[in-house]
Amino acid sequence: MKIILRFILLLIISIQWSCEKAIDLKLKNNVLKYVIEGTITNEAGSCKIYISETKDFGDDNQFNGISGAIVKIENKGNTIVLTETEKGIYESAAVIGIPGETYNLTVNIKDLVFKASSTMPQLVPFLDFTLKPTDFDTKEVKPMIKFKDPGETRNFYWFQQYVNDKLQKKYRVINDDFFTGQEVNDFLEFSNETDNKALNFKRGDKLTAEMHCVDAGVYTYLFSLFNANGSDTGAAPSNPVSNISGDVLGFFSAHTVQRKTVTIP
Amino acid sequence: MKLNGSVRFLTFIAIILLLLIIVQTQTHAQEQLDKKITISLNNEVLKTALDKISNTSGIKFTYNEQIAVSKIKISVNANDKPISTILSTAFAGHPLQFSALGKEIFIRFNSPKEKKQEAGPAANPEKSQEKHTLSGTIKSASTGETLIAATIRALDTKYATQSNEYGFYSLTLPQGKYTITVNAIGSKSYITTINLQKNTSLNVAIEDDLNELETVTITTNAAKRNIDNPQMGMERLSIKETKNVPVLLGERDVIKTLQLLPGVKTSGEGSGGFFVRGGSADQNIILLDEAPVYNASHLLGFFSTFNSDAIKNVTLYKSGMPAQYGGGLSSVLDVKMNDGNNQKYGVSGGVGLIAARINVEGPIQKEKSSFLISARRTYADMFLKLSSDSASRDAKLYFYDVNLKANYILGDKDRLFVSGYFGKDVLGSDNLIGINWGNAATTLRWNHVFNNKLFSNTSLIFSNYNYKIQSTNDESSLTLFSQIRDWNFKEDLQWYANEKNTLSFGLNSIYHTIKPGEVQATGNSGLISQNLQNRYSLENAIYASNTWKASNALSFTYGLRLSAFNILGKGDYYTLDDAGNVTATTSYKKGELVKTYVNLEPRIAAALQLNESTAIKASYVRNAQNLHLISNSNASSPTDRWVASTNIIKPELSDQVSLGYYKNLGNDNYELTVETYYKTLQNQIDYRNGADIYTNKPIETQLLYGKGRAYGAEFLLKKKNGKLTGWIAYTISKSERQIDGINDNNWYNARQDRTHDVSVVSMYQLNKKWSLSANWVFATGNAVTFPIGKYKLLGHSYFNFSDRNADRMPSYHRLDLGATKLLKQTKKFSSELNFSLYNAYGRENAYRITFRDKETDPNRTETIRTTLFRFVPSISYNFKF
Repeated sequence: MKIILRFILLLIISIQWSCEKAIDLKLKNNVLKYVIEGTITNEAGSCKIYISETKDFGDDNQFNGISGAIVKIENKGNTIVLTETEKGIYESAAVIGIPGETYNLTVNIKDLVFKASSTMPQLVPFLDFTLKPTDFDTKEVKPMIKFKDPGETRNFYWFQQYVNDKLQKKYRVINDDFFTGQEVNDFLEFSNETDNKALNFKRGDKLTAEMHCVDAGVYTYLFSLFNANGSDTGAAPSNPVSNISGDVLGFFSAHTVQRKTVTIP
Repeated sequence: MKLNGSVRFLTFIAIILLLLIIVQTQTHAQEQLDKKITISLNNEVLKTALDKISNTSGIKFTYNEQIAVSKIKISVNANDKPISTILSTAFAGHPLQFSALGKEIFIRFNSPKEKKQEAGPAANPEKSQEKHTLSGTIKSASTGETLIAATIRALDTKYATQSNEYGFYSLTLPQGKYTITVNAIGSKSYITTINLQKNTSLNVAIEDDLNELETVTITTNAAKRNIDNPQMGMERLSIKETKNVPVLLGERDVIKTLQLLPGVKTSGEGSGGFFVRGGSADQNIILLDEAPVYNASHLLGFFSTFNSDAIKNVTLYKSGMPAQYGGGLSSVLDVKMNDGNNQKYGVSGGVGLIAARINVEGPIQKEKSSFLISARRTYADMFLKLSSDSASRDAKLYFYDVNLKANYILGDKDRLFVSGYFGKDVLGSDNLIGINWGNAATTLRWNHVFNNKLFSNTSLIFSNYNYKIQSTNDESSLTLFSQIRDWNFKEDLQWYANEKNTLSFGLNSIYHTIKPGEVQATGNSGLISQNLQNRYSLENAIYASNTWKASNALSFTYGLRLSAFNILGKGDYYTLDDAGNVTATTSYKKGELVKTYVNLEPRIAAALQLNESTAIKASYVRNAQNLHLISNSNASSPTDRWVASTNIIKPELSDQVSLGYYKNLGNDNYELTVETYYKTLQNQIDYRNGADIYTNKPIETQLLYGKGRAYGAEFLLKKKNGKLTGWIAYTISKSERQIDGINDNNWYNARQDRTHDVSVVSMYQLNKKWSLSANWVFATGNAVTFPIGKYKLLGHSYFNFSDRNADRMPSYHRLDLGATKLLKQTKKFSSELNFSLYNAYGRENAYRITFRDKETDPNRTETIRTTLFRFVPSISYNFKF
C-alpha cells in the first residue's frame, strides 16, 4: 500500500514545475552513537556483526568499524565469542542459525553494554520469482514474488534486492496481517531513480531477490527504517525502533535466507 | 548569506510602502469637504444644485427622498472655495445641514429633536420612553441576495446593530424620529428617516456601489468598522477582496486569501490546508452553508473546494468563537454561498489555465424564489496528454465540483433553502493506480421570524466524505475505501431582547458514521478483503449566549456551550497496555452506549471602547473536538484517517485567552488590529515511532497522547479606501507539543511552528480598465528534523536524527503580481482578463529537503532541496451576463 502512495505522490510532484538542487546546509555536529548491524542466517558462515560509529554529514561514506568490542552470541546456554576479522566486523563460523532457535547478542564496547534477542522463524518456502516482459522498462522493473503464508503463525518477510549482485538500498517488508494463510503474489520494485543512465536496466541484467523470514522486532525495525527519512507527505523523520537495548542504532536479526534470480530477457 | 541581504531589502521596500500609505492619508483626510471648486448657483432647486456641485467637483452627495424632492432653492457664488464654505453659504437660512460620510457628503434636514445622546435612555430623566422595535431584512437591490453583517445605525445615537447570516436585523429604540443609515461592504449607503411610534418592519434593498460617475473607480467602504462589540479574533472577507488577490494558477481562492491574514498559516506550498494560531489542519471547523466539510481542498491542496463565483461571505473565527460553533479547537471557517439572483437571470464564469467555471442563477418566481448552479472542472489532464513521458500521458488528474441551490420566500416570515454540494477528485495513472475522493453535502434550511425580535434557523444536513484508492494490474486489484457520513440537525435562535441584550441559543445534533477502511482484493494477490469496523457516534450540543451592552463603552458576551459526545455500538472497543498491545476486547451491540464525554465550553468576551475609534477587547474560550485527523502529513491528503473519540482516544480540548487592541485611523480609512493569544491544548494525538497508518490492528495501538501550547501576537493594518487598498500583516508565534514517548518526553516544536510570518497585500486601481495587485509573503521556516550524523547499514547510508523538529527549513518568501483588464462593460455583459505571475522573482523556496548518497559519488552524501513553483504565469478570462 505504501508503494502505491509513494508512486502517486512522486507522480504528482514530477508533473509540476519542480526542480531539485543540491545545496549546502549547515547541519548540527555529529553526536557519536554506536551502530550495530548483526545477522545470523541458516547458511553456514553467515554470522556477522558490524559495529561502527556515526559520522559527520560531510565525511565520506566509508564504514568506520570499531575495534576492541567484545561480541557474544548465546543460544541454549552456549555462548560463543566472535572474533574480529576486519576492523569493526566480528564473525564466527561456529554459529549456525537453526529455525526456531533464539539467539541473544551481547556487545561490550568500552563500558557500554548492548543486548538484543532474535528468534529465527521457520522457513517459508520462496516459491517463485518471475518477470513478465510487460513489467519492465529502462527505469523500472517489477518482477513478481510468490510464497504461501502459513496461517497458524504470525509471519514477517523481508526481501532484499540485488542488481547484478550489487545490494540495492530499496527493500521490502511484508507482514501477514492482510495475507494470513494465503498464497501471496506481489511485486518487488527495482528502479533507477537517479539521472545516471548507466544504472538503467538492460537486457541481460540479473535481478536477485533474497527472501528472509524475520521476527516481529526485526520487522518493526526495518519498517521504521524505511520511513526513517520521513515520508513524501511530510512525516517527521525519526530514528527507527531498534531491537537492541541501549542508546544504539541498528538491529540484530536471526533470519532464513532463500535466493532466486531472474534475468531481463 | 545572500538570503539575508535580499530579505532585508524587501522588508525595507515594504516599510517604505507602509510609510507612503500613511503619508498619503494624512494629507487627504476629510478630502471631500476641502475640495475647492468654482461654481455659481442662482436659485437652483436643491437637488439640481447638488448635482451641479457633484459634476464640477466629482464629489458625491447622499440624501434621502425628502431632500431629493425638496422645493428649497439655494444660491451661492464661489470662486475656488472649499465645498464646506460653499455649502455653509448656500444653506444659510435653510434647515439643512451637511457632514462627511465616508467619501461622500451627507445632506439632511435639521431636526430639532436630534441631539447627541451621551447617556443611555435609562439615564434620561425627563422622558419615560416607550421602546419599539425596528426589524426586517437587508438585501441587495439588484440581485435580491441578503446581506450579511450590514450595519444598521440610528444616526447621532449609539443604537446600532448588524444583520445576521440571513440578512435579518432587529433594533430596539426609544420612540421618536430617527435617521437610519444602512451600510454594507460593496454597497452604497442607504439613508431614510422614520418616526418610530410602534414596532415597525423595514426591509431595505441597497444598491451596489458601482460608481459610474467617476473617471476613476474608487472602492468605497463607507462602512466604518464596528469596534464596540465584543467579538474578537474574527476576520470577514468579502468576495471583492479575494477577487484581486493574485494566486497560484490564477484560480481565485478564498482559503489562499485567508492565509494572507495574520494568525493563519499556510500548510505548504500551494497546499489548501491551513493552520490557525499554532493548531493543526484538522482543528478548523469548515462549514459550507452550515454543512461540515472534511477535506476543503482539491488535488492534494492546490485548489480549495469553494468556487468563489458563488460565495457571499467568508468569516473566520480564530478566537472568541460564538457559542453556536463547536467541534474544532483552532478556528471556525463559516462560508456562506449566494442564494441566487431573484430578480433576473445571469450567467457568469471564466476559463483559466487549468480550470473552467460557470455560474448560472436566476429567479424561479421573480422576487419570491431563485436558484443557483455553479460548476467547475479542471482540464489539467489535457496538458498531461501532451507530455513526453508515457506515464504522464496516461495519467488522470482532474477534479470537479458543483453547487446547487434553490430558495423560496414563503411569505413575510418564512424562507426555505435547499442546497447541495458535490465534488470529486481523481488522480490516476493509466488504469493501474487511482485515488478518488469526494465531498457531498445536502442541506435543507428554514428561516422563521417568530416576531420582530426572534429569528430562527432550522437546518437538516447530510454530508458524506469518502476516498477510494484503487490499484489494478493484470493479476489482481486492490481497493481501499474510507468514509465519514454525517446526519445533522441544528436549531439556532437569535432573540434581540432589547437594546442592551441580544441572545442566541440553540442545539446541534450530529450522528457520525465513520468507516475507517475497507480493503477489497480480487485476483490472486493473496490479499484478503477486510473490513475495519464502522464507528458510530452521536455528538450533541446545546448553547446559550448573551451579548450585553452594559454601557455605551462596555459590552460583554457570556455564553456556555455544553457538548456531549456519545460513542455507540455496534463495534468492538479495546483495552491496551502501555506498549500499545490489546489486552481486552469488549463487544457492543447496535446502539449500545460505549462511553459519553461531556464538556462544558464557556465562551466569554468583553469590549471596552476607549473612544470613538479605539477599543480593547479580551476573550476566553474553551473548545472540545471529537473528530481527529490522524496523519503524519502537513497537507490534507486524502489518505489521512479521520477517527472519532473512543474509550481510549479522549476529546481534544483547548483553552484560549486573547487580548486585543483595535483602532480605526485616518478618518476610518485604516483599520489597525493588534491581538495576542495564549492557548493550551490537551489530549493531542501523534503516532508512535515506527507506527503503521494502514494497519488492520486497532488504530489506538499506534497512537500516543500529550499536550500542547501555542502563543503569539498578530498585527494587521488595513487600508480600505482609495486607489491603493490592501493590508500588511505580521505574526510572531510559537507552537509546541509534549507527548510521552516522543522526543524523550521533552517539549518539541510542532511542525507548523513558524516564528515570523509577514504578508503584504496591495491592490491598485490604475484607471477605469486596469487594476493591479501584488502580494509579498515572508515566513521563517517550519520546524523540521534534520540529521545530525550518518552511518552505514545494509550497504547504504542512513541518517541519525536527534530532537524532533529542532531544526528549521530555510526562510520562505515570494512575490506574486497580478493585473486585471476590464474588457467590456455594459449593462448586459461584462468581461475581464486576468493575468498573474506567481513567484515573480523566482525565489527557490524549499518545498522539501532530503538527504541521500550523491548520485555521482556514492562515497559522499548530499542535501537535496526540492522547489516546486517558480515564475508561474497564468491567464484567465471571466465574463458575466
